[in-house]
Amino acid sequence: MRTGLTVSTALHAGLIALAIVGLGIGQPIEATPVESIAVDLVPVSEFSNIRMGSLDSQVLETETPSVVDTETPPELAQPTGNTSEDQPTPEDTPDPTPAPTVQTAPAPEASEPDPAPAPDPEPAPLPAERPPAAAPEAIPDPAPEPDPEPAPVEEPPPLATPVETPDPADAAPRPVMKTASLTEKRARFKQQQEAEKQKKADEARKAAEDAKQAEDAKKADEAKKAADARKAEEAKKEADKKKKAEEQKRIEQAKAQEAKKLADEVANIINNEDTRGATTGDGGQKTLGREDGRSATLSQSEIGALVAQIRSCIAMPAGAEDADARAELYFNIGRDGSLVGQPQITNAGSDMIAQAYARAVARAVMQCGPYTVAAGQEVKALFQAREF
Amino acid sequence: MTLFTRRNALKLGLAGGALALATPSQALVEIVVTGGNFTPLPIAIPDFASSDPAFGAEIAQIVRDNLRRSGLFVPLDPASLPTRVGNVQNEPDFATWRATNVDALVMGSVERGGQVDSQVRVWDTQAAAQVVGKSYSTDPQNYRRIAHIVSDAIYSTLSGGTGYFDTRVLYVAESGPKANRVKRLAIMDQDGANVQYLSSGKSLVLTPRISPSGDSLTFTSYEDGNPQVYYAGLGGSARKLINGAPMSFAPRFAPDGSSVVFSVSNGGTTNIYSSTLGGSPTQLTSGAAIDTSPSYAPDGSRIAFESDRGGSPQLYLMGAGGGGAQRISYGEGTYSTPVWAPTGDLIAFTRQSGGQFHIGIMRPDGSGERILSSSGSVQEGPTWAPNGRVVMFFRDPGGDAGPGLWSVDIWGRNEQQIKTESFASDPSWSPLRG
Repeated sequence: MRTGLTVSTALHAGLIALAIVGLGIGQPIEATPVESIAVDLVPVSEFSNIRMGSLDSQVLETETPSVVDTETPPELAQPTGNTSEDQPTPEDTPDPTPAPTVQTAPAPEASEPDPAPAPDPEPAPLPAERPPAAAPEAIPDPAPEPDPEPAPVEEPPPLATPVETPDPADAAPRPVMKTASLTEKRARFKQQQEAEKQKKADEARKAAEDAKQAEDAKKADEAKKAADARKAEEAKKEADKKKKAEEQKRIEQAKAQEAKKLADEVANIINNEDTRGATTGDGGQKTLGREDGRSATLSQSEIGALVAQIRSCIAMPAGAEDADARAELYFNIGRDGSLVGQPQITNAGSDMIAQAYARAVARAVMQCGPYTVAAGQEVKALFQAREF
Repeated sequence: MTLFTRRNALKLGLAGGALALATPSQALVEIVVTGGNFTPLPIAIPDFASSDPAFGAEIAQIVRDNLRRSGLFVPLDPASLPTRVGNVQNEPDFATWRATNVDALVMGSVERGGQVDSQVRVWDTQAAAQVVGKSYSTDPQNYRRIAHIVSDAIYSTLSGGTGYFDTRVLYVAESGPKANRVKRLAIMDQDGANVQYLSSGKSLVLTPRISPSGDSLTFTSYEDGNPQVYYAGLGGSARKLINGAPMSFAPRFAPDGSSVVFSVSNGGTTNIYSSTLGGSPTQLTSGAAIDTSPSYAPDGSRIAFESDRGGSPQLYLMGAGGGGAQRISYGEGTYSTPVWAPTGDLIAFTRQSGGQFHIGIMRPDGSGERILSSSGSVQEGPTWAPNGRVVMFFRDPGGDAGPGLWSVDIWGRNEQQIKTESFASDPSWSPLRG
């Protein structure tokens, strides 16, 4: 008894020790990672179902949005410029490229004395030119007046002096941070510069004319000179007024454009809504289609199988193919594939051969056994005797 | 509060019921099935009910033979049918008939008294509805015509188009050894019964043609020694059509039956002439070529004929008043014996090419040429059944055997020999007699 116990204990202990050691020696099993493929079970109806439509939906004519926000519809670009003749090469204009406007305080009035000394040398040559006009110098009061006028006028054309900047400053308002195209801005600025240039050219021209008139009057008639000078003055005043009016108009136009642009921006921000194109979604119009338009819930291969099954049973009457007989049948297939009721012949010709054909295909549909392919479906079948 | 109230149970019951009744939404499957195979239609024709059962059985057998010969039906063996004798009055038990794989069922009755009266109903076993129900009567001498009329009714309702069983075939019956053949004019029902001989066989006769009314005929006879065209009422005496022609042959009636168009051979030239019965002939073609075998279109506006003006015998069309002819045959070989179908949409012809004789059909503009039968032995002379679907011709195997009549349908199916008492050639199919 004792020996048995010891032997048993020893053997057990040995076995356990062996097991433990064996386990320690063994390698751990490493599971190699297997790449798994995601499998989704998707019913065919998800692919073959069509959207429900509405028969009287409108077809939306959406135009492609244009890059430029303009009212005018896009047109085909016409060839710009005159391409049939050689154009004169553009020359370097004396005007430098306009620099972007910088808002600075208008220059102090000290600039005004500048024109004052300037005319001094000029009247000098004038009296030099007109020594015989020494006598008329008795009526020099109106004379020098037109003289200083050309001087300040002559100065500004070469440079955009700070004297003139207040005007462009009004015309070209504070540049607003907006997403108008750069070329547009440049064009506008160029437009404005040209307008100014025009303005100045006009002024210069007018002033030159006036001066010339004054000189002619002086030359021609002393008596008329005063009146002429006065007329010149008035004319000049009118020109001034006109100029001012044009300036005003231009300013107002620019202001209006600016206001419109601002309004557009605001409208864009306010009227931000989802697209209303011809896509599914909430709101908008339904797509053009049948309201009960559900696609066949049979895939193409299943439809082919059904067609082949019916076709194999058709016992066609003799002249049906020559007569191009057609028939339309409507029948229901039950859950187990057998026909429910009888096929209805919805559309068959009136002549004998067409009716014989319709009967023959109805017989074929009834005889062709269980349609397991299309169980539980309603079928509308169009039969044509002639195979194209 | 307790959940298990009667109200809740009712709600649950109704909801459950609605759920159970709901079927998955069905969509309409639209399919298009084109074509199909032609198989003859299985049809069951039990014996006709009659006070004389043998008579009823005989009539039913004629109907079965007619339909079988047409190639479009497979009449089932009457012994295998659930009912041996038909019952016109009551609706048949469609289930039992469907079990025997029968698509169409004919129940008829026939009585022979002062007149032979017959009633027939055709049932569609699958649709379990009557297709047609008619009654007919005829004189007792022609009791077989009742069977033919019934066959026509069954044929037209089940396969479309008119039937052709109530017709006769005029032909030349040949007998005797090859060296000394006796040729006589004969007429029989299209199934071979009721043969009557119309000529004695003293002189050679060829190409008999029956008139559109079915009561007179025209043929070529060598009575004079030369072939001449004769016409006669059925059973009456024959008269020569025109005088003064050295040779005249190949006659055919115009669709109104008042004139005959034929060929005259005069001093080496053969041209086509037309002549009213008892009147004087008018020439329709001229020229040195051989123009023969004329055939009118069913509306009488054009004539198809055979001419070798192009060098070999070919088919030409011209107006009924003669004038410019237009060639319509452009296949290989030589073409002859054009015959215009009664339906007006096909022309049958004989063609010789590749050492063989072919019977074919083509459309009047020459297109759609289809060869229906080819043989190494001589076969020619097609004639049309009144429904334009079957062509009959004759084939001479040569040697000691004589010619026989064969028929084939325009789809090339069902070529079979028409059994005749003696050798037969030159068939001409009459129009429907009714």
